[in-house]
Amino acid sequence: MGANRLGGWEAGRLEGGDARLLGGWAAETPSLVTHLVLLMFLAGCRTPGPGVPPTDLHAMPTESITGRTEWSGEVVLDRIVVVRSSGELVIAPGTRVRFRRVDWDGDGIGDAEITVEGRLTARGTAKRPIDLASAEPEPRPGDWKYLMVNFASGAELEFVRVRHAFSGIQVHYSPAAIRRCEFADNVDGVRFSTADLTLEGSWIHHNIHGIRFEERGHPARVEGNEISDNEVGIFAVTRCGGGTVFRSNNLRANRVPVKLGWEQDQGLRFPENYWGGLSADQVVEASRDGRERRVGRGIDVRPVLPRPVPVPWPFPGRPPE
Amino acid sequence: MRGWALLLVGAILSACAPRAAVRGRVMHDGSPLAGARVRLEPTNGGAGAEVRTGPDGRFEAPHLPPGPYRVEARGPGPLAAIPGQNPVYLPPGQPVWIGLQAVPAESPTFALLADAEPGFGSIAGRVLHRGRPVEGAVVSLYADESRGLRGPGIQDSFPTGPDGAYVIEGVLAGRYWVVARKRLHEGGMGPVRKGDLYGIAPANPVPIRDGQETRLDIHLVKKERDTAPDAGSLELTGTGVRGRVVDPQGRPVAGVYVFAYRNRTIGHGMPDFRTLPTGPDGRFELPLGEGGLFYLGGRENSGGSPQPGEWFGFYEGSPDHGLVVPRGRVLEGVEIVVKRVLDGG
Repeated sequence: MGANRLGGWEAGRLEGGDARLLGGWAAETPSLVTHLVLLMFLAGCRTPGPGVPPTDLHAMPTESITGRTEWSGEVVLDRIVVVRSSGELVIAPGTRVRFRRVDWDGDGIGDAEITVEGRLTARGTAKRPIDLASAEPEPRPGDWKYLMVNFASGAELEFVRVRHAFSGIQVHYSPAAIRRCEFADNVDGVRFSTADLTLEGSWIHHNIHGIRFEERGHPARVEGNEISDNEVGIFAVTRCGGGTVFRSNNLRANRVPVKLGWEQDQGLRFPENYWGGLSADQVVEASRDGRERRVGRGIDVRPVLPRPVPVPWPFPGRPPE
Repeated sequence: MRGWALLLVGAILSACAPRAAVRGRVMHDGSPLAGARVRLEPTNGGAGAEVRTGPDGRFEAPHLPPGPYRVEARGPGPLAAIPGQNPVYLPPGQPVWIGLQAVPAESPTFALLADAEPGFGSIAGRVLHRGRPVEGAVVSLYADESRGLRGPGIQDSFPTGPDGAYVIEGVLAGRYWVVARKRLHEGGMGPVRKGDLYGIAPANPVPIRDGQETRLDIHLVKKERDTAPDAGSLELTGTGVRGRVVDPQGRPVAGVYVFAYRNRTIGHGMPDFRTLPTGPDGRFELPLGEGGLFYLGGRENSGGSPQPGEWFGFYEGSPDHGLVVPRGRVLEGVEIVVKRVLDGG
């Protein structure tokens, strides 16, 4: 059992039960693993250098993970964590990662984040999911920045819940597999570009953009997901060439089913998805470009599946309304 | 008496401070252009300077405070010359050479649009080189010139046809910097290289009016030589980094551009500074203007976003790949570790 805090950092390992925060400190006895984690973070902690304004993110407290590190229990973040190219972060089932809202650069978005340039393994279970969310008493989208997988060796997420971020996850120039996860109450649920990405069996709901992507010549696979109740279901920003497969997804109750960015000059096809009972023409009618204009023949969703695809809610209990 | 002494000391110190200087020449259609007014305006405030070209088209402006300057030449008559790289950094010491090529300084005209969406207008015209239409040129609009009019515009035209005509429709009404480029190399992206054509509209910023079409012809000039953005040399700027590009096994990698962004988001948009490609020893030298905080990396291609299989990597000396380079210092031994994008492991 353990949780601890050093200079604003809170990290810990709890084997069952929640961390109790007393005056900003988690009152638990640190475990050996926690000590190792904290020593590593302390060694990797960076302080602002001369000539760096305090509002620049370069000056924001940052921790490096350079070897294999495991998180479990409750981890509270108020800073940037970077899994370096030589590092691997393993998040154990049942781990709760909580992000404090720290707007270091004053842009209105929380700046706590996890960036992965090495490897990430986050495998929860249905009964013990991994949970990434805001630490704030009244959480809202953008309380923290993102889980970013960028030029990384790889990322694997299963049974992970991600809420209250600017981007639930961003994947760029990296291989990644996301299965049976939830992305809710974020600005962007899942965002990717130039990625070997497989996204399946996941619930992506109540975000501004469910999926936001730039294909840039490297297609991804998005199959068998529930992408519902978002402001925009799929946002194809630019350089999407139609290679990314969107198939057997339920795309229902999104105000705009598909949005094409200002610079997306090529039409796109999204065949064999269920659109909440809308016909192909109705989906096209409701879809928009970057200026809220109808996209018309810019998209083609035929054939439309007549019935929803079974996408089981990955976690115990009932799915959110 | 004491006040006068302080003023005198101040004047002496000011006179002894290292100064910058610029020399150059303005050409028009291959001939020197006499009587052009060359304006040098410091972008970080202070008084500018204006000099005229002599009969041989040459100009010289000595004793300038070092720093970044916006440079342009006007006249005689309806001619103007805007360098491809603006602002130009003038370091203390050795003069910087600036070659300028004058083109007709077109002014925009305006016409009503029939079916314009409220709040939007368009821009159209021809792209010309020495009076002839240019096929395959792309016209780009930029909202400001803070990033040196580099990278994709906020809106770009399709490549021009044989008549050199371009049009960009659905432009939010406002003022834009208009640039046209015709790249000869494969891919058609990245920095303008030797032999490419480019033109920065002397009328910038150009108004795009609600419900109207702005009509503007753009004249191109030929890029005479390859330079890295703002690079100059370390001897001139006195500020930068030297080092090597290596693979994960520590072996030198050739053919990699080292870049520096002032923004933490690396790989999106054009860098602020960039080297020429590394040689077989992987060594590079990156001048960094007035110094400051930079985010460093290296990549094999110089335009567009990184592609699978391409060498790409970062400066690994800090978690966010950032490095503070003080003005007047050259940091040695900086290593950029690159690997192939999406190559596993």
